[in-house]
Amino acid sequence: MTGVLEVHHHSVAGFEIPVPAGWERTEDVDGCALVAVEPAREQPHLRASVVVTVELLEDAEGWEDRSLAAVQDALIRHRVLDDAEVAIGGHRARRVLGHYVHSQFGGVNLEQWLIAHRGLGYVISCSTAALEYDDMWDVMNAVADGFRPAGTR
Amino acid sequence: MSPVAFDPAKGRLQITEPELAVLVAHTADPVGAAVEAGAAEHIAALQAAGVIDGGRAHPAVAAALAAIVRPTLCTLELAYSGKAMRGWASHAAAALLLPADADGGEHRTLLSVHPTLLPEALARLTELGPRPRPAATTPVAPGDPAVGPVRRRWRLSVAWTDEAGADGGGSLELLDAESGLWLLHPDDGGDELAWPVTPTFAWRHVVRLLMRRPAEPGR
Repeated sequence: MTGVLEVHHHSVAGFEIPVPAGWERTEDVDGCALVAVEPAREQPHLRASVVVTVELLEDAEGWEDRSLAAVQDALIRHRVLDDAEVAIGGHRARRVLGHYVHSQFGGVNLEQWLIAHRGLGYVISCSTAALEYDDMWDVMNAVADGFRPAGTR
Repeated sequence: MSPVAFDPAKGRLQITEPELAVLVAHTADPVGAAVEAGAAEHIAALQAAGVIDGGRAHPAVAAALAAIVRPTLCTLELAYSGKAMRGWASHAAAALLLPADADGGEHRTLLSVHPTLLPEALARLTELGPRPRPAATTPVAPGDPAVGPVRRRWRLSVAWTDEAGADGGGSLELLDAESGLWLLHPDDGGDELAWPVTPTFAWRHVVRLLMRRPAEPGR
């Protein structure tokens, strides 16, 4: 379903993240610093995606909870399945696994990693069709593990 | 006996098991089911509730009933908190037969769900969600103090027949304890052990089973 990963260096924000080779990549669209989307298949399907957002943390306290609450409000029947502290590249991160209902494609997994670094809040959001979660687990976790905030190369 | 209760908007049907048996038989063979002894009364009840209309199952439950007749993806059983739920899934639809109500009534709820929502339905029934991480990093006996008080024990069993006609199946059994989640799985000697796992592990392996892959400790 996915091949090798290629490191994407964001041209403006400066972060790095590996994304599957062949996925469509767009920078700075709809408030997202990076959107990487799986190529379309023959049949209609939910295209797996990796989205990175970056925001200036004027009020860092409670940023994670506010960010996650916004997700909860925006998605249909969003259910949090797991929520734990992890480390990415030596940085503390919060990983949240959730599930919501897409009006066209049904169940969707949303796996997010939230990292605050040098006054910026990064959110890596990986979406997969619910029944493809196991297929995509390795690659999505490799994507998140390979993330490096700006200025940490 | 109270009548069949049918909510087409929610794909929800409250029905007795004999009525469901007739409804499934009717889905498979409308003519044959109608002439079975004792079926007429049940078919009349199903027609009165709008479940069978014009000789066919209502569209809100037709695909789920077809999945019961021909579960091309898998069949499943979830045992939890002293209850048991059964399910049937094709690639197009799924049906879940929820446990009887606590009042001991004869009716059970048949729920029509999209197959992509099966993991979520199972997560709701088992109340899967964030949990603390067990302090242990290696498997222990299920009664070990590290496991501590158990809030719930649940087991998902899934069976399937693949496209080549080969039967397969697998199961996932967990202790939902105050210390976190523990996978029950025998060691090489056959003794049951409790392996510390995460909600992500449980979710991933529910998906694996529904996609016809056995669960694996350590993955």
